[in-house]
Amino acid sequence: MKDIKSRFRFWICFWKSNLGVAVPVGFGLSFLLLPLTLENPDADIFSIISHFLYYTPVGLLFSALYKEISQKGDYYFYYNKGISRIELWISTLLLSYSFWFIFEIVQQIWKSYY
Amino acid sequence: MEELLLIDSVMISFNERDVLTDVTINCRPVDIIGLFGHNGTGKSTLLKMVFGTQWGGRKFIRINEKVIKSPAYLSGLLSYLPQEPFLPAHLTVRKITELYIPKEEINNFLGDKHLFKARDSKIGHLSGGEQRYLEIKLLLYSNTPYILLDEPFASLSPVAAESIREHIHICSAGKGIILTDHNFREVHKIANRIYLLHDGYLREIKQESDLIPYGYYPD
Repeated sequence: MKDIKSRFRFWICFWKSNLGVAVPVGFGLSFLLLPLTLENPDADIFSIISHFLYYTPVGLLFSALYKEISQKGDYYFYYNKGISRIELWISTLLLSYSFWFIFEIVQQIWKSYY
Repeated sequence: MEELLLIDSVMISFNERDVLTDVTINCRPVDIIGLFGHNGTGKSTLLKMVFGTQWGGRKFIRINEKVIKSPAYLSGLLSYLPQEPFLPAHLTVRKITELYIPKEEINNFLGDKHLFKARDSKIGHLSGGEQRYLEIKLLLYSNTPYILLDEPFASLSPVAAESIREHIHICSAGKGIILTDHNFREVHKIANRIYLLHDGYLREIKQESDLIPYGYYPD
């Protein structure tokens, strides 16, 4: 299956399947690490949002572990469309960090104007 | 181009026990090949090795004149139905159909009497039999020319199993299908070649009585 548009739909599907575990775990981890960001005297609301967007995807590690233990069969849904496990996780990582990346760009633009 | 799935010289051992020894199968579009064997003889291992999700051992796979060196599933030319459920539980039947089946065939696909009522249900809410039926039909009607089905009739009602046999028969006009099962009489209705995996070797079976010397059926 070489069609990128079709492939992207499967990437989104796999990414969404991780949110149930990754977001709560990642958010909790981000909250625990928040003092590291707040230590900085220049910390503001942008830093806090950036902090959560950056650390929440770490929850994907726990999601990966969960899938390996209890949902390993689900990978065949993607294998049957020619998509490998590595491709799924790379696309999920890129999608997850795209929010942080976009926010950083928006932040830079905002701060340059105000 | 010669349309052929060539599976050659498949060998694998576990704990110094030879599970598969020089297994060779040719499968053309229009072939429906039945593969029998006692539990634990390596039927699933063989299919997984061909598909590319079972590591270890040795094998030579060629699909439509192309030698496959990476896992065969990456070619997009092969589908595999595992024994365990593989559809994500959070998706609906309709969503999964839209992902797997060409757009122009979706309505016809979901109009099936076994799927119509459940078409907007989540996979996690289907019974085991309903999910199995959907899994098999998705693979049969997706675009891959070769399909490996591991015990497709397990957990299906007799009516659903008969429908699946009809779908296999229809789809085999343009696809090559290899399936494993334990029910010779049912598979014999649709398969044009039948093999028995015994002691790591593949033996062709012409009739039910050929299975008795191997202890596959009671005497």
